[in-house]
Amino acid sequence: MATFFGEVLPVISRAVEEDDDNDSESECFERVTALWTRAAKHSMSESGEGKLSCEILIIAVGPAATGFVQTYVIHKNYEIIAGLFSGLHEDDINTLSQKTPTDKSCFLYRKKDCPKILVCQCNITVTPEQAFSFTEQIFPSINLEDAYVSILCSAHTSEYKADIPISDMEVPFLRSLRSTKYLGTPLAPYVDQPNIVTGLPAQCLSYCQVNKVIAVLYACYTDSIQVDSATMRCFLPLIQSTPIKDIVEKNPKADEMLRTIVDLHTKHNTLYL
Amino acid sequence: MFISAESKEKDFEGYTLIFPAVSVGNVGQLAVDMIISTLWMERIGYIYHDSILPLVGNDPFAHPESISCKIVTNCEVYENTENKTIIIQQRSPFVQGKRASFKQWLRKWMVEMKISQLVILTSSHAHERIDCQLQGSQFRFVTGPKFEKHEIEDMKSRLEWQELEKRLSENGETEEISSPYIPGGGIAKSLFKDCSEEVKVCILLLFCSEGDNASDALQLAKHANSWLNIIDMEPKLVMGVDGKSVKMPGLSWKVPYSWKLMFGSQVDRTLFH
Repeated sequence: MATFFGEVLPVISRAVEEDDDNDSESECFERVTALWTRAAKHSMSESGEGKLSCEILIIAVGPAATGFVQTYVIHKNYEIIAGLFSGLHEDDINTLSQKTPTDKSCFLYRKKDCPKILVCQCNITVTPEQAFSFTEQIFPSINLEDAYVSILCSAHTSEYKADIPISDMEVPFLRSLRSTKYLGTPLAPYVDQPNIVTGLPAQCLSYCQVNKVIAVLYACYTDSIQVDSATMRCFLPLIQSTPIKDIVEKNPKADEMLRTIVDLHTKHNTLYL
Repeated sequence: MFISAESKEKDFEGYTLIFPAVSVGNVGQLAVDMIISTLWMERIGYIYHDSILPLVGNDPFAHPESISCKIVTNCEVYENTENKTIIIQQRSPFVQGKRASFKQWLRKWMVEMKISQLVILTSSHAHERIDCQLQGSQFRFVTGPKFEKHEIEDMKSRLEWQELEKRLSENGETEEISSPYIPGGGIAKSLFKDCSEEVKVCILLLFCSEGDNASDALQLAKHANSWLNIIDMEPKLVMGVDGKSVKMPGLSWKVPYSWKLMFGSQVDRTLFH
């Protein structure tokens, strides 16, 4: 496109790419694979319909939500029952326990003394393209008929649109969305227009909505680039909510754990050395 | 796949399907938003398909004062039984490499549901116009082989619509009728090509550039309505309680609440002091 002054500018569109109507293009993402432990497979075969029975499923996406869940929910008495892998590169450091910020695996945990409580920790970025295959790997293996699904995620305040300047808002703050089946009132105000949630959390909630599962999503909007304890604590009201309040145990070392998680994510950042 | 929001089976025999292609300036999607919002169309189901990127949000057509939550997903179906119209609103782009599978699914679904007519709303890069397209109406239409001659004549004479100009292909021949030249038009062209044998299909498009495309959307919606007559804008005489006839205003275009804050949040005004 030529401008008024005659310069020729490449025109880019936010909606479509150049020559975007090409059927021969190939998929450029890797599908997610799930590996279930023997114990999990055993429980599935025992249940009759080949699914894990479930009362509560918590899905945490991103460093803030996973950090919160790690500290306040699964700090005691949880075992890993499945790993979800979405494309490892040769040079990725992966400890298979999410002890490094680059661990490219997600894990499904189960409470040892109450196997109907499941927690999914996604510390890494599952790309929006991979989100569908992620849900297809995990949800069909869990009986969600009577389950309560809680999806936690975080986003940066720069993505949030509001009538008042973001600088006048108290950050971090929580916003929520619920599936039609969820009849309660969430603990935070709803995501207001014109804001949207995308990526894996959106895919999980969409799955619950179309399959008529009780689900609620909490998004924490934060202004810090690296995860910090204030952002993780933003989810704290949730542990007093039904039905989560019945399953959490107090963590006396919570502050210490939060500090370790913050360190883990800021250690490699040399900006303020 | 199509998942009905209610449990009853749906049959769309004789229905017109309006489908917006994700295209330059998102004009098709915005136009469809306008039609849904003006007609208060009912959401009857979801399209849950791995080819569309995930998205959830609160009801985009809600009343500004509404404090409830009715979630929307990335692709949904709206119905107006009175006018025998259904609309598929797609709210996020395709996953790269997955367009073909969506088109295949849509074609199959339309045949299964006995949809009688498909109207594709799209837009095309304004900078790709040829000389004769620079002035006058920026609206064009393309009809498939199932359209009768008199129908096309009616569009040209009564509605004063202009058919999309044919272009010379690389080898110097005029393009075939089956493949119109619509750069930036998303899947409109290939969907048109794929479906034209089975369904009566036409494309309505507008030349435009990326920017604030609300007025383009309104223009496209008006054109579609002038032909399909789905929104009755005429004032009507209604018998009042006192026996006298009262003139009731017809419907007027209603901008969805979700279009607010198009240019982002308000910023702190002191920035400019």
